[in-house]
Amino acid sequence: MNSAEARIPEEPHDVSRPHATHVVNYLAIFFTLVALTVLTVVIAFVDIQSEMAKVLIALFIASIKAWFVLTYFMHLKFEGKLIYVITIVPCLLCILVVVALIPDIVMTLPHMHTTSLHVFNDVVGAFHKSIGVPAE
Amino acid sequence: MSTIVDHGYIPEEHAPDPVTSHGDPLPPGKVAIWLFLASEIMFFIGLLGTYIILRSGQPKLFADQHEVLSKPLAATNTLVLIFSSLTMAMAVDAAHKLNRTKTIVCLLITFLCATTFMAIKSVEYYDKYHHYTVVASEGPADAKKFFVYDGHVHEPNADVMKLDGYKMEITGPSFNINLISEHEIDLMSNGGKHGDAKEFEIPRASIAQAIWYGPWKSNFFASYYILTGVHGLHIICGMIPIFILLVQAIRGKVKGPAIEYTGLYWHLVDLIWIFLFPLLYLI
Repeated sequence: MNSAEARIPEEPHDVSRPHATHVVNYLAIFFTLVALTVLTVVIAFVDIQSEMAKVLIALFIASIKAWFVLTYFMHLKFEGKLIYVITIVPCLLCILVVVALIPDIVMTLPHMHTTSLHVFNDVVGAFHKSIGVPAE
Repeated sequence: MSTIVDHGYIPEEHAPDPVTSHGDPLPPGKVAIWLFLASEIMFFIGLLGTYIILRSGQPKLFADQHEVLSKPLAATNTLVLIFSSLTMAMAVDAAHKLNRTKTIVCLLITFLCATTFMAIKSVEYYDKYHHYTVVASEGPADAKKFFVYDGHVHEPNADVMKLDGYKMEITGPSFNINLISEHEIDLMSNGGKHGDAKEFEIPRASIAQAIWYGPWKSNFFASYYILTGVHGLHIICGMIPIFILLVQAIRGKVKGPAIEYTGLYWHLVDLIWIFLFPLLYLI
């Protein structure tokens, strides 16, 4: 009839009541995470030349692990819309932060003398030259 | 009393909760803890942003200096933390099922895992505390040769510094001690391959520069210490409520919601480490 009837009776705050728990095979999630950790370490020992490829692969595997932790350990799968929104907004903001940093990263190309990062590269380049490391 | 009047006084305990009125009841505490976790995510992305900027400015330095850190210790720590996340999830589950014994056991294991994590972290920090880069000279005053050493020193203030590590000749005393790492000296002094560490004795009087691997060593170590340090602080802050909940459970009070919220925080700390581990130790 209305929501007041369907409500769960009030209880004192320091008493817990059994929730409608969701069956999650935590052990399976744990072993998945261990397997992905092992994979991350193994890939780190593979000789990948491209720095960007290394970073992206590592971040990709870490994101899969994070997804498992969020979905199953943190029960996000069984939560309502509000919790989803609270989680997704900071995640989108994180992506925005990283995207906002892209100009600082790509503008360190040698022909662009526009960013302070270029100074870093000059310093490191001069240093490596002084000790005889071949230029990349 | 079952009807709700639109205009009129509704006692607080009978008012429909704006959060819980649709679908499953959602306790305000849960909303609060998720909002807190959201702010934690933003806190860490700020620090990771500085890491991204510093790394993109000095990719070679980051690639060289991370080799100084111990991958096996960090991998062990990752597994310890994932395992503690498992036991925490099981503790939450047991608390909701009002299984007191299982809750106590799971909380205890989680607490011990957290202690193990901090112990391993301390070993890593302690190792860096004894790790030095030293520039020193050899030979007569008119034909001085300069060398850079990198390795572990246990008595840095002794008259003769005993350093267990690697040595390479350099052009002069004004060498940039911050940009070189043990890994680089190792490769360059052994023809591009990893060689065995040797013990060197460096007279104190001949030392031109010396630095240990603190945050001042380089931008990489600055990133390393701030990220792992703040993360370690979160571990310690998580251990406090876990300990309190453990004591309460032993005394007979199993607080389901509190254990659940602490668990959510604990999983987030684990989740952050999942990103820090490859970023600082592997790539």
